[in-house]
Amino acid sequence: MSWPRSLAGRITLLLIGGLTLLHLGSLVVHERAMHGAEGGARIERLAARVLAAAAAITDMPEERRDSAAHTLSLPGIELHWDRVAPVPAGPPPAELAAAAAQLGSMARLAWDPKAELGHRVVGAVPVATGGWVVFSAAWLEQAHVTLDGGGLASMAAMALGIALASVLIVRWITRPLRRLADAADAIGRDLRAHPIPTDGPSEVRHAAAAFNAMQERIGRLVEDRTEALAAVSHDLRTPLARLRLRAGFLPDGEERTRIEADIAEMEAMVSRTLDYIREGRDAEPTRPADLAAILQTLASDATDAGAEAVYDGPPRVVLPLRRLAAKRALSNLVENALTHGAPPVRLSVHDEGGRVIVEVADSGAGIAPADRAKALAPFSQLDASRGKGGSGLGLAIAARFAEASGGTLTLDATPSGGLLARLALPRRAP
Amino acid sequence: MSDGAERRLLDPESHILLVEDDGEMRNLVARLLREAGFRVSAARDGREMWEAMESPAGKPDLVLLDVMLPGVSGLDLLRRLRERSRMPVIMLTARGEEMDRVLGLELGADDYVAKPFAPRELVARVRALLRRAGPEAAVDPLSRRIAFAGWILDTARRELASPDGASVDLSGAEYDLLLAFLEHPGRVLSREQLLEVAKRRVSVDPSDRTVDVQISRLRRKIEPEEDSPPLIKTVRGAGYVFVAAVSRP
Repeated sequence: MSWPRSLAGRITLLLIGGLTLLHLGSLVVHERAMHGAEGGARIERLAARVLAAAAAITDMPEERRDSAAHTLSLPGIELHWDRVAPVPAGPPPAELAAAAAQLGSMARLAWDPKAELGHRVVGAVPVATGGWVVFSAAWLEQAHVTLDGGGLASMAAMALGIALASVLIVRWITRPLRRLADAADAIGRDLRAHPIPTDGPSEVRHAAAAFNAMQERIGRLVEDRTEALAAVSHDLRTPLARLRLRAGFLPDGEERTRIEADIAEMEAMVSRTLDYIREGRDAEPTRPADLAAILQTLASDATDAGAEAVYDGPPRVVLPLRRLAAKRALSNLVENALTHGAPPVRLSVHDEGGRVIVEVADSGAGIAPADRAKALAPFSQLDASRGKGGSGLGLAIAARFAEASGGTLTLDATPSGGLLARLALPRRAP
Repeated sequence: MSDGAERRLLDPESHILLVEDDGEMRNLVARLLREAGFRVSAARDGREMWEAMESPAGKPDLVLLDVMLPGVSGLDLLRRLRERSRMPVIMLTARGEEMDRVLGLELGADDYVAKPFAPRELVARVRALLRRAGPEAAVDPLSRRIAFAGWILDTARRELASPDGASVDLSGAEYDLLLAFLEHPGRVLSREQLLEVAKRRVSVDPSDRTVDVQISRLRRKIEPEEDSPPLIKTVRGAGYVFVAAVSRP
């Protein structure tokens, strides 16, 4: 059974179902009452008419009796006179007991459901001067509730009206709930608090207030943790600087090279953490800058460091940018491509409908589609088990930069299966 | 360091004043600079810095100033120092603290080194600044914008702006090379001279080829289009020359 998934759908269904049941129920009750009243009246009327006919034709000559009885027929009750009763003597069927009591003990009654409609109840009452007044009627069948076309149409119209009204009303009622869900969805992508208005039904109002309080607590918690992380990273730089100087006094050799490499790795982690925390908080103004020059510098720096990276794009791409933040973000993308992917790394930039798209493609194994969202989250390492190191912040820094700049960062695969990071930035300042 | 011993023979000992509050750090940097052939005085804060300035050991040739100091900050000390002297100053800043860096350079610091730094890098920066700030090359710290062919190099912010005002990113080596050209416009700079400049930044296999590569990268940025006016020209067999007019507005 496939229930409607939304609360609005279920409430609507409940409303329609309930109202339809109520409607049908009242219809049945109404019919019953109507039928009961009408049926009672019929039996009395039938009995009175049959008995009156029997009395009226008592003194008539036999040849006129049948036509006289016939003229006394009513709609639904047909009367005749006959010399013999068409119904054998015997106790009447249970359904007709009430009628039999009205007609007197001499009356005979029978019910044949297979007979032609209008002749299913057949009975006879003796005439004092001889013969029988014979009647036939259809009243038992008429008691059944039948829905004709008009009734169905009115039911359908009513159901449609109810459905429409309940959809509108329920949407209105559940709007605060949807707003709550949207706000909850926004949390995590952006840690700033987005208080939602506390209105709507009281349950939703309570939920909204609780949600706002929770947002505030989460915000404070994240803020505290971030501050602590920043403080630790910040303080680590002094001992690292000392360590680096001290390593410089060691005799040249493999040990020293390794120590210096370790120090460089620690420095990279610390500065990446600080970059992540700082992104979006610094006061760097947005000014026209040449994106192509930044990408060229990054490719050159990587090449000078012994890696294979090329910039393949126009010589100049000027757009409003926070240049240093952009360089930080892009350098993290390149760094990520070189550490977690594989060289050669290809940097390119092109225009796409009012946005400038920077692509950083590597020749590694890429990231499975299911893991891509996780790869963009801070402090997540997809290949930690493979010992590639890193702080798990490179892509997160770039994603944060994209968001703060009114752009997006998406991960995709290159035709050869490597990772393709696409940074889309607005042509105009956000 | 054999390199240091060599320098000692070439130059009279330069005197460096190191202002740094962290004791260990102070000792290590002092040791590094001494081994590189410099005479080093150390101060732990502003008060000791002013004392060292007046001491019989003589005025320093260069001040290495930490931004993060207890009490009066390094930036305040720099401002006060600049009120009375054009003494060369290198700021020691925390890596990534862009505002410290920009503020320091705008307040008149001649260079900055981000902590944690590679020992070699610090020594190279100190030497480069001492060379630049020789007696004949006192540059007014307030007019450190250099203009050429519509471009402006802001040496305080280490920022290059194109004729249409866009900020153009330069790598460290490209910046150093451009600055060398701008300080010697119209003069042919040999590959060896340029290599000396580029060496400060490029650690991997510095060779003649490195200079050509760095120069071609620089040209791609300041002569981006086919029809951009040529600013740097190759002089066959001799080196490179910067051909545009250079002014200091």
